[in-house]
Amino acid sequence: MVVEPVPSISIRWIPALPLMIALLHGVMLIVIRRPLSRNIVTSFSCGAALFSFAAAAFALAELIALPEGSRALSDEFANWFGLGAGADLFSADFSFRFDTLSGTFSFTIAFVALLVHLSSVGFTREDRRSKAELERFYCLLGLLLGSAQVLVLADSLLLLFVGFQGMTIASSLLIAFNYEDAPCADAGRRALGLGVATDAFALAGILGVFWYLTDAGATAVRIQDLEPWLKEMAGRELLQIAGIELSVAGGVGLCFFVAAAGRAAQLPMHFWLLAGARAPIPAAPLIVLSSVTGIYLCCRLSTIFLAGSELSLIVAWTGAATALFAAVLALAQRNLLRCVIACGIGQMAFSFIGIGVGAFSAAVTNTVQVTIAQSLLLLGAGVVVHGLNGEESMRRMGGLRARLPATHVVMLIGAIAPAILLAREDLLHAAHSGDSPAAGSALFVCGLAASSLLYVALFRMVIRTFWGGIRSPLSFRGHFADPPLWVMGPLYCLAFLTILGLALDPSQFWGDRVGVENSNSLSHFIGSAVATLPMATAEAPDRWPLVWASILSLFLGLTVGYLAYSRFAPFFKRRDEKLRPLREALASERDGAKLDTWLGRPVVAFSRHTLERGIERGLIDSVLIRGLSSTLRVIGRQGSKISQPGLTQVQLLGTLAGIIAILWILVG
Amino acid sequence: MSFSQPLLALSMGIFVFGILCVILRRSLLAIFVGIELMLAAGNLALIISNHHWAALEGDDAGLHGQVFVLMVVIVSLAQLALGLGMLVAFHRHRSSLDVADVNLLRW
Amino acid sequence: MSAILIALVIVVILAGLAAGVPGRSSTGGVLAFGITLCALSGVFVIFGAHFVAVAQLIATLSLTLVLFLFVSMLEGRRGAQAPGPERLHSRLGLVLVGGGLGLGLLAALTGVLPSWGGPAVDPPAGFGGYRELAGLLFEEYSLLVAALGFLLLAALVGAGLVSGRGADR
Repeated sequence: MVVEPVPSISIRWIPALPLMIALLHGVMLIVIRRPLSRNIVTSFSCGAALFSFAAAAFALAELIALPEGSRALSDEFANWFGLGAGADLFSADFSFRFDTLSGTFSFTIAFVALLVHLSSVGFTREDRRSKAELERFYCLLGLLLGSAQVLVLADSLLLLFVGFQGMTIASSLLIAFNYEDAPCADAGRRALGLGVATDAFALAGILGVFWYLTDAGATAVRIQDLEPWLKEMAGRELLQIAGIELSVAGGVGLCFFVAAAGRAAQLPMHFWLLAGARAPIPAAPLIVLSSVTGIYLCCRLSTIFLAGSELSLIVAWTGAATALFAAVLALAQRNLLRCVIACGIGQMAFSFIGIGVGAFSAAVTNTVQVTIAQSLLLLGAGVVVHGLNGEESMRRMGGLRARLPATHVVMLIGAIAPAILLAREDLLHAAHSGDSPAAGSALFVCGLAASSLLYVALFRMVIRTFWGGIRSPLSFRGHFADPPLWVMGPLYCLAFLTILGLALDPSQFWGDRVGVENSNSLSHFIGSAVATLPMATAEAPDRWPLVWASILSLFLGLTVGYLAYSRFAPFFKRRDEKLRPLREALASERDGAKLDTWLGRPVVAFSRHTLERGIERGLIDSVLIRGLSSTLRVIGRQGSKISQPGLTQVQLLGTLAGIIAILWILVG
Repeated sequence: MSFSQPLLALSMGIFVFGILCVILRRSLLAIFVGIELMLAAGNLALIISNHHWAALEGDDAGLHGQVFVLMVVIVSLAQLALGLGMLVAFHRHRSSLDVADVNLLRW
Repeated sequence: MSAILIALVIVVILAGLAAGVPGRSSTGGVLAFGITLCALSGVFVIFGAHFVAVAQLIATLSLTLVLFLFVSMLEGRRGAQAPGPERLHSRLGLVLVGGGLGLGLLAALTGVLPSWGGPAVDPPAGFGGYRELAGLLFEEYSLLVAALGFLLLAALVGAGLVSGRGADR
């Protein structure tokens, strides 16, 4: 599975270009304090995204051109630091690895980012924002994109962590973009706090890996060299604490899982991504993109995730619980963007189910499909919100089908997205019949229920926004229509890709039915880069019930959604008044406010009493600073009093000291 | 037991005390005392050495050390006489015995 | 017996030094100085230099008397010694600095200490007696004795001239 990479210099430009442009914007804003003009800012940033995508496409073409089994490119372009020598050598380099797994993710991210940049031009065109705000926005966007690419392409875990942190910072700053607005600032702050906490887990996991490696005598830190050691680590049971056997792989895997789950907004860390609705509209898809990187992390370290049964159970059930909860959450949302993001969280959670049961390729396929569909939905929602002059509540939408026909069609495609259905079906099949200890009927039923509810929520979103009577106030009943082509273009592209995704069947199942060979091209492509669990290949008759169940979930969801929210909406509306408190609680936008109490108060108290009063005022100010200065003052005053006036006595003492010194040297 | 070692160390100690007395005291009389202490220390060292060598070599050693001590005593007395005379003259004009006041090359 | 005596004498010497050198009052200093030198004469006696010890004793006592007279005469006239311009350093600082330098000097000098340990050997008979001393003085050092006489004369005359009232006219 370890492939010797071929050097390629096109890889470095994939993260480097967006980061360079972000740096340029940052320098212009902070150091030179003269923001560039709008046209220059947008053209530079979009150009960087375009060239980054071109580099990714070029690299992908190069990769595909390589013979199967040796598909990996690498680019070592700088040495970061090195310690020790010979057998004790530890070096971390700025080196990137573009193999089948990271290449897929990198290309997807680059593509989505390009479309986001292009459509953001249209969104910010009529903005009344100042030049500085625009430049800040593009700077953060570039930083987010660059960090995501660094994370995905990193060849060593240290560089991966750098990407992690960059993404945390960029997404928090984007969430808190309108920081003069207190809830925005709060949401950004909490996102940053949570992000840093989960990054700490990633760091713990990385340190665990390093500790194990150095213990076992390895000197490798590059991911390609990590494989055999990870396998060995996975096979070892090391610690015994209080009668419970803990494996190193299990502990490390748990740390990485917490980091990935935080990044991908799994339960209970989902709230920070929901707050992404507060970010400027074009940025929302990129923030959601950050959840993709969490799944990448798990797939990259797939060997560890196959290690223990406890870890598999935790991962799979977290995914299932998140999917269910996110679906329920989406059903309760009134805000259009939050509803879409909640659905996205739920759909992404299926990838974690896949990771838990060891179906990594299917998880990656699901991730790619969901990314495309989510971006489509978010951009479409952005078009709606923008057209309604910032109105985000679905209560005041409705009947927009006639005004925004194209948007309506693409959002419908994104909501139904049959390609996602296929990927999800494959994941549920693995959840039911896989060889993993986490697989089982309970997991399958949970996943199925979540899938149905997600379809209900998505269809509800479409119905409330586009169908029915116009509920928006009079002032909005203006002459607004579908945006021009340069805004809609990316949406058409994404919609097309969503349909095209039907071709990316994770397993050969549908391909065999329809007579298409190699329909599982993507999973085959990725397969060499991830660990594979030999799945119990169910015979066709045994799989069909599961397939029917999945298809049924789609139709059930759509039907229920249609009935509850369109056809018999008033009837259901009267009935669910009792659920009002629950709905209010779920729809509340005080994301993560509880975190302030649990986490915030002890931290603030510690900081105020111990750090500020104790260390800052007591130790540093009074003892070190004032004490030192007064000591020096006394020494100076007394010293100059004695030595300066030129007294004979003092000079004699000095002479005596000199004589003693000479005697010492001569005698001693 | 021969006491030469510790007493030589003592003579050095007295010498050091004498130096300190000269340097650290401000009164002229105290400085004279210091000078006398230094000379006394030298005398002690001479006597001890003389005793040591006489015990080793018997009659060949002689009493040269003690002769030197006599000389030192007499010379120190002469020096002290002159010094005290100058001190009286100085005091007559400056009315002070502080060494810091001895800052003119007159009187 | 001689060990106890020597120890006693050393203690007296050190006590006198400690009391006299860092002290502020000149009177006390002079007295302590006198006691120290008398004890030193005792050491001379223990080491068999009897004549020299007596000479030192006479010199010490006269010196002490003279200094005492001077102290009471000169300092008593204007009261206690007027304090200098300002107290530049504390007594503690002086003791510390002086003590440190003194110890350093002592340590440096102790490096040249010859190792004269071993059992006590008595000097020959008649050692330190006036007879032997006189013989040496008049046989070998007669010129030196004459010169010393001149020196003393010169000192006497000079002291009288310098301190006399007509000296500065």
